Amino acid sequence: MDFLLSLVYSAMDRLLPLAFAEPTFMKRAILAVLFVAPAAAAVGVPLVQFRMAFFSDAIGHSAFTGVALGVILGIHPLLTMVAFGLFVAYAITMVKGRTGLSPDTVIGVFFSTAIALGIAIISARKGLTRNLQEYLYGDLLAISGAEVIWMAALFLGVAVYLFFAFNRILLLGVHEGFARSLGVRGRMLEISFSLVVALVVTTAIRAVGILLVTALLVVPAAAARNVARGAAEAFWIAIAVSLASGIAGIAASYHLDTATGATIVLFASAFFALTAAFRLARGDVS
Amino acid sequence: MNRAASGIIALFAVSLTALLPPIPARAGAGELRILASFLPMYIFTLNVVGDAPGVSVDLMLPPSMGCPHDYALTPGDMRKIAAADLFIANGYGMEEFLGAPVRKANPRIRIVETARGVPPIREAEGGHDGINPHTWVSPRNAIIQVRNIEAALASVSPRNAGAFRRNADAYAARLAVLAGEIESASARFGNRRIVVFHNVFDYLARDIGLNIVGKIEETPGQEPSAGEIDRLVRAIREKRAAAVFWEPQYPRRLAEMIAAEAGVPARVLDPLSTGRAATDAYEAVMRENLRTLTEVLGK
Amino acid sequence: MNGQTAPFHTLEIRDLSVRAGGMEILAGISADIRCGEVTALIGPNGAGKTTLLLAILGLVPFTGEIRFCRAEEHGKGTPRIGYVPQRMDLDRNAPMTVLDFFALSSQKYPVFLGRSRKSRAEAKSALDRGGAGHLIDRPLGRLSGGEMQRILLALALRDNPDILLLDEPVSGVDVSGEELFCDFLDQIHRESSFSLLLVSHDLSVVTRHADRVICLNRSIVCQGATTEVLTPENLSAMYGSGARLFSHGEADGHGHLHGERRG
Repeated sequence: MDFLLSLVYSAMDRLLPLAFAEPTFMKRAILAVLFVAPAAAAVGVPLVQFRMAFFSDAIGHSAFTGVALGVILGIHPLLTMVAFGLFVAYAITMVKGRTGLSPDTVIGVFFSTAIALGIAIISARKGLTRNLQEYLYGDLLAISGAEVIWMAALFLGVAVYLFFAFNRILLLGVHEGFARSLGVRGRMLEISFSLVVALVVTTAIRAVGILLVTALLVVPAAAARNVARGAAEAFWIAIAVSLASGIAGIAASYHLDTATGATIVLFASAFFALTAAFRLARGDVS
Repeated sequence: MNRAASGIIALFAVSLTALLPPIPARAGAGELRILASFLPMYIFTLNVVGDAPGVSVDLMLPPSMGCPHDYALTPGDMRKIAAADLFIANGYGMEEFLGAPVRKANPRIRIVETARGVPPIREAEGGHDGINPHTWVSPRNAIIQVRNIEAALASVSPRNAGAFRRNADAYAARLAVLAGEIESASARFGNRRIVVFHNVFDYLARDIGLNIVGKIEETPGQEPSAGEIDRLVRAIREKRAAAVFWEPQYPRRLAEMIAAEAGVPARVLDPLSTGRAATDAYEAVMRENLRTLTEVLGK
Repeated sequence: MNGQTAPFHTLEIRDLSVRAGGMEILAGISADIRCGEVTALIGPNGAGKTTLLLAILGLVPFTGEIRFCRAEEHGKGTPRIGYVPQRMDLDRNAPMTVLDFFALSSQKYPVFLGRSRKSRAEAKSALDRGGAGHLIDRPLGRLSGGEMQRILLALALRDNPDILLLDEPVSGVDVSGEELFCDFLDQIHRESSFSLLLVSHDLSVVTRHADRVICLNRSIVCQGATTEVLTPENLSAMYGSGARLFSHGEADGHGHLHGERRG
């Protein structure tokens, strides 16, 4: 693995001979963003379609509790964070639609319960808060080679999943009953999609932190929706925005001494403002 | 709602009260109750009290908590404060929570700021009135703090003044031996330039002549930006610092990454804000720190 | 022609019931939807009309039986069912063109990798059949109500269904649009032999285009040939007493249901 990484690093030196890309830790940060940002944006396109931004936020915040569980159980917090996120995603999806409550409410209940559990755990075992800061704001600069590999694997996994499921997911988003009448297995897709979202969210937290992770999924997709006329356009514009924001954000944070995760999200927001202005100028009926 | 359900809920609510922790009994007449703010203060106080009769020592912040930066008092803490006669604090701004709420909880509690007398290191940033509060990490300062504890205890419990003095003398002597060991070892250090995580070791560095060329978190709690990390790495290389030291209370990833980037070793130094609550813990930890420093700097 | 053999088929519904949330939405429905016929499903709000469609589609759990019978093999076979949902439930803001919409259900690979020539050709011919070929590259959000209706119909017809279910196809469409639509529906229906089950509030549509009528109000109030079924007694039983059918005439007719509803 290390050998593979050092090959990649020397390739990056040749392709990207810029000041901000020179230190090795910056190269790792760039690689991490190159894998995570497009995965987040690609998943973000159907996410926005399904109005699942709040769901994504709930998974992000539940990661806080997942980490706390790992620390008190003595298991690596990264593993428990992902496992707990998957669990919450599955639970929310199964409960949604089974009760008479709106999805918003169901998510709100799980969200608050998860956070309350996390806070209770933290307060009972004082001193854990130090460990959590890197999860709140992201730890992109201290990312390890192993995490970069995991992110590459996630990127591939998301690509494969979307290759097979994208059409059906979009169809489900346009009209659920109609999609199901065409043979789309709605429940299966709902569950698998929410699990994939949970994987992407818990991984992206390492890059931008819990507070900003939803932005990484939602903002590029939203920016794309402003100007895209077709499904393929929306998809690729979202990915382009996320990549551009990622690289520009890293470079800018290096030169301006700002927090990297936040800078990336600010660039994505700038792109959103740009496409929104463009749409207004074009005179579309919203 | 049916009766069975309300019955069960009432039963449940009542049984929850059984989980409430007991309120600490008031001190018996004549018993001196001492509350120490965090671990080092607790250890020093234990050593001074020894087995003097009618004195109890309690620790407020749990030993896993660490430096009380930004600590907020819990109801359990307020109960302990209400029941204590004497509060042993570090001072110099370390216990920022010692304000009006404490006075209200216990108007007659006497607060001892044990760092008084230690020549303060001023710092430009860091919110504690511009003074670095981490005085106890240098054994010479620890002796001053122990003597302050002894004086406070003796004035509140004159009966035991003799015992306190004997215990403090013995402990101060051990600390002096420790200080001597550290000073003679450090005289032999080849490279005195180090990088630390935050400003915890400034007093030790001053006393044994270490040169802190960079801190990972200049402001405690504020993660460094990409540019700051890069500049720190360059500084380590240019100034040929010997090592990067992390602390057990903070995540080590960042320190290890910076050390790897700069090509120097990463080691742990423990300022004893967390750890074993035992009477010899301070000396044991400091000797371990000395071993680490000698290993890395002794060339 | 749809080129499919086995022209005679029937959808047999036997004693179908749907329960949800402790309530019985449909009770003991038995009906036949016959090949080549237009059957209208009418009833007041909350009667369970959409639910019956969803049950036929297999989208809600039900007790009872639904059998699809071809003449040669009684009780065997799975029908191809086309479904045109009520327009208002659709998400019109999705960044998607009409072609995208078609390709989503006809293409193996995802649309973000492009749409195949085959998809485009299939979509074009299906749309042309619905008189909407020019709309192929239009974003869904830019379609008018009537245009969206044609798109959905074209998509439902694309795979040559045995049964076509339409849920309130003309609600929200203006009078002339509705007429165009119904005439168009007549025309394509004459060309193929699919069965058409049409949910409608609009009884003028029903009287002019349906062969059979099922009156539904949680259970079947009446069913049979249109002329026999739409009597004042049956209308009262469903919509309340005093309900009568008014019509403004054949040519520009737009039937309204007047009268008070009770209970």
